Amino acid sequence: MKSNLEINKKKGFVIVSVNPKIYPLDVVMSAAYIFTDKCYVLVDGDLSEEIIVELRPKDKQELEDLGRDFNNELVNYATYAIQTLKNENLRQAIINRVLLTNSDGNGVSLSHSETDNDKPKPWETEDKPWEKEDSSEDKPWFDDPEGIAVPWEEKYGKDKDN
Amino acid sequence: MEKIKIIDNQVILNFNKQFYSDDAIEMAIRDFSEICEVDETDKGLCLTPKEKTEINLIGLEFYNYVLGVMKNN
Repeated sequence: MKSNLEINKKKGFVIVSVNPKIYPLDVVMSAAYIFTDKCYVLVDGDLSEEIIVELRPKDKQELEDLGRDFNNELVNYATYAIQTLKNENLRQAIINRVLLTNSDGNGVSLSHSETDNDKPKPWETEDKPWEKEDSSEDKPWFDDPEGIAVPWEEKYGKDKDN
Repeated sequence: MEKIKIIDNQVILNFNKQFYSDDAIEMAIRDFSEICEVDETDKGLCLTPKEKTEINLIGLEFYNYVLGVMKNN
């Protein structure tokens, strides 16, 4: 198979030729963006014929490895794009389900309607044991069948010496 | 057409509009105007650095910057 790399050692860059019918533009641009960290990237060519990506490493780096890494990145992004497309329906279904959870069934409603104001809020109706009136304030909050939890002062009175 | 051309203290860039969006280039021009004079001419985009620097690198950095802007938009 013919290589898609053209290495110019003298000027220090590698040209990667990409077939736009195999790798769409967004895949090529995403891969190019990733490479801006380690090299200068120039994109040229014809969108319908051939995309030319020129990579000039910022530091000393093997040009052939750079070109091959770029090819790998293309495959990586292309796979990601295909998977995203495959999962599109499932993702949409999940989002719809999440939104319908908060709706009244006739459609998505993110804001409360006027009638909602009349209804008691869930936090108003739920059981709040801490707000219940305590009929026996003197009773301890724990069981004391032996009656040993009586304070000293209450049982024997205050020490008059102190 | 040459994508980066250096004449005296100027670097001239020619963007292929099939790949680089005008909005991203405009934004990059705005951001680069702090470090260099930018003129849009018939020959291309002319960058003249305000301070002495490696002029070729400014052109290459500009290309990378436009890619970054496009990705983030």
